[in-house]
Amino acid sequence: MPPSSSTSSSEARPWVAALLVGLALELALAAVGPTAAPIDAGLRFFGAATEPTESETIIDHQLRRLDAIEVPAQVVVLGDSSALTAVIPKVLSDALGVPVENLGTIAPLHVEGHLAVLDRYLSRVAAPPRLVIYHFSDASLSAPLAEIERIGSRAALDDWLGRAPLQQGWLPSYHLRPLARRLIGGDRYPAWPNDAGQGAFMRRTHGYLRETHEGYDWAGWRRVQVPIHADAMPGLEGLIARTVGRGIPLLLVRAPVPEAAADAQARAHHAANGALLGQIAAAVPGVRVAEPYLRVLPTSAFGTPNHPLLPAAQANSRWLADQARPLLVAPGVPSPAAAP
Amino acid sequence: MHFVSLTFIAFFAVVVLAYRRLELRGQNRLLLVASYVFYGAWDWRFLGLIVGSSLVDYACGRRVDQALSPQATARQRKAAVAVSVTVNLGLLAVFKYFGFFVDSLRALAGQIGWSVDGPVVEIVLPVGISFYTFQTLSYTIDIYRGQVHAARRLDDYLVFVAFFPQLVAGPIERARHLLPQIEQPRVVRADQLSSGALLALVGFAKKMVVADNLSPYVESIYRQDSPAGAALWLATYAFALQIYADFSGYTDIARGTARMLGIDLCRNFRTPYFATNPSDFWARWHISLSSWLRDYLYIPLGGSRGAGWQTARNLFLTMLLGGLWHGAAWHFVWWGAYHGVLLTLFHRVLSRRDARAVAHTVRGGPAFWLKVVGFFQLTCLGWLIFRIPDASALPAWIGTLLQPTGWADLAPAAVWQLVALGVPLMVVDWIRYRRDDPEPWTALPAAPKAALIVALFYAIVLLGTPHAAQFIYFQF
Repeated sequence: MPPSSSTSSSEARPWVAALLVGLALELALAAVGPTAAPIDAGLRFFGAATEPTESETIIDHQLRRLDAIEVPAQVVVLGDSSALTAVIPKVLSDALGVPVENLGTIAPLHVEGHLAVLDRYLSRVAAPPRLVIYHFSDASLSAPLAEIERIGSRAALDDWLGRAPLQQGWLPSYHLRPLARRLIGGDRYPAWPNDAGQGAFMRRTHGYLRETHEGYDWAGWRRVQVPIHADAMPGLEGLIARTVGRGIPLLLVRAPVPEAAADAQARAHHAANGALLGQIAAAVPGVRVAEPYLRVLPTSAFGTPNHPLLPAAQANSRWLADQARPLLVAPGVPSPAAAP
Repeated sequence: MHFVSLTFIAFFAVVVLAYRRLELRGQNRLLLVASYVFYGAWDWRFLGLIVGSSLVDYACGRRVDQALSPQATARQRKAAVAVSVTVNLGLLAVFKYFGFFVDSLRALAGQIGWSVDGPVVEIVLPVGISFYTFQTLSYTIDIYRGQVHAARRLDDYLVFVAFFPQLVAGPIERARHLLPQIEQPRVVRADQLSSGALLALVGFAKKMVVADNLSPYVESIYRQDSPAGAALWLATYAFALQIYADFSGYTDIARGTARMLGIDLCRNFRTPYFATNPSDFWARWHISLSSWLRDYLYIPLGGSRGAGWQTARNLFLTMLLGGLWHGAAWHFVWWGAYHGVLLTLFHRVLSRRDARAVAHTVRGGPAFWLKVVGFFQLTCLGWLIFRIPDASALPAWIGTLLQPTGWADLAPAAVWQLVALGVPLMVVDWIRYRRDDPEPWTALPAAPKAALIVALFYAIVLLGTPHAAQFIYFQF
């Protein structure tokens, strides 16, 4: 005998009402249209079943911050830790009068990794920036890709991006996630107590993030490669295509050489790097190269290699605003056809 | 197959639609196939284990049941129970505890100067083994005690063991509650469908919104070698809420989906964080396990029948083994021992005084809140022991908790997250506690109920984590 499943309109009523309300909300939101690209708030490396590596931790922390950006910036700073620590968006923003975002990464990613970060940002925001500043230390262009990959950050980046495809939610309400998640603390710093806590943890467990340059493998740091390694060329070309190719000026800025490493070899390497970049800028309209605001960063002004202390970062940011202003006012960028 | 996945929702929808068109035998066969598909989706190799274990217990149960085996002597019945107990505990010993005991023996030998070398054997822990072995153990013991009859049909018994909503993390059902429901024709009423779906929705919200959002902060602190005291306090409070939302959320989904199939599963939680003492806590937390330990361990050990020290010993041993049930690691043993000590102290020192006090304690009065908040701190200390990644660090971490520093470094976002997620959870629990009603929303009129459904749905869509972490209790 089949079960006599009863149906009761009184039991169904709340569900039908909920469905209608939900439908009405979704239709209304679809009519209004999304205010921003949806955010992927997934917590890839901090699930109870995973043990993230240090590189994964850093990448996850930084990219989820990137995903949480809601207001499209008009100036985007891209690059390695020299960008992250030497460019203060607020100083730039105050000086230029436009929103500025710093997407610098503390993990070594090579120029191709920085390009992936830019791609992630461009795929999320509603409007592209008016200027991209690529701020890097020599190593981002001169180190072989294999050496960067050995560190593990590139793999962590690829893994993160692979695991975190943009969540184009099929519900129009999905676009409200960034706003809603603010109610529970948002996604900006969920992984660490705060930056100070992170620093304290790093110092305690790894012995770095010290306040001076002591204890560094300066010999290793000075290991000279070519000014721009062949491995960097696809990344550089991609960066130019993604920016100048779309009518966005690209400002290339190199970090100064740290005083502790500024021997003749390092200075020569730095100069050769600058010369090659100058040739690229001359060949591609829309690309500008700015010389470092200091040729050599005094030891007293930096915390770790390429990471200036706050006063130096403020000075660098003010100087950078002066370099960026003409490009913002009169971009003078050629048509995409001029891009490589 | 993970509950929190579109795969499961599609799978369950197919099962429910087909189920409603079938008669009893067809329903049970469908449940059996669905349960094995669900379980085999984790790892098909586990299926052999659960089927083998079920067949042994089915045969033992029939042998033990006087009505089915009238020719069996008392000795043969006892032998059949012994076989069932040995097989089930043997499975646990091999698959769950073998590596732990070998490693512990090696460490012990190393400490006294002996070097014990040998091959390292990695044994995969089958999902849910602790739950279904306890369920089948109670089945044969209950038959032996004359409290339940043996299953008449093999397929009914296989469904009793493998019923997918509660297979991997409970509640640990007793045969006298679940088996008759499987054996009798079931009528799925509209109110069961509606209330079951709503309960499951509550469970999904607890898991995806509360537990999985608290998880990253807990993880970030507990993975540190020596976290600051203030952060450890905050992370431990967060973990208390996380594990409750995670496990009770799983239970809500299990009970809700089972109800949509016309089957009632037992309650596993009764607002545990409003417990005023250890005894009260264990009557509210993971009830199906605590009552199992009471009936099959504490009472057979002598319960509270002997002298005071014997009761204390029985309590302590029961909780120690209860801790070990959670996992093959020392911090679970210490967690069990900690609760054993709390219960022993409570019964030895405080119970009489508390019995008098309880009589005068007003729910919601100052004395009540003092006890609730006070005991919650002790519960959290237990959770620290439960969650700590390395048991050897326990003294240092407890020292850190007792002398906390780093309050200024606490991230406001983390504090706010704990408040924003924890307060609604506790407010709902308070309503349930006050009304002594596990599902107060069922009595709501249509409009507020519809609003609740919409709110839960949008909480999941807008606040839930899209890639849910595994349920904590799946590892046990």
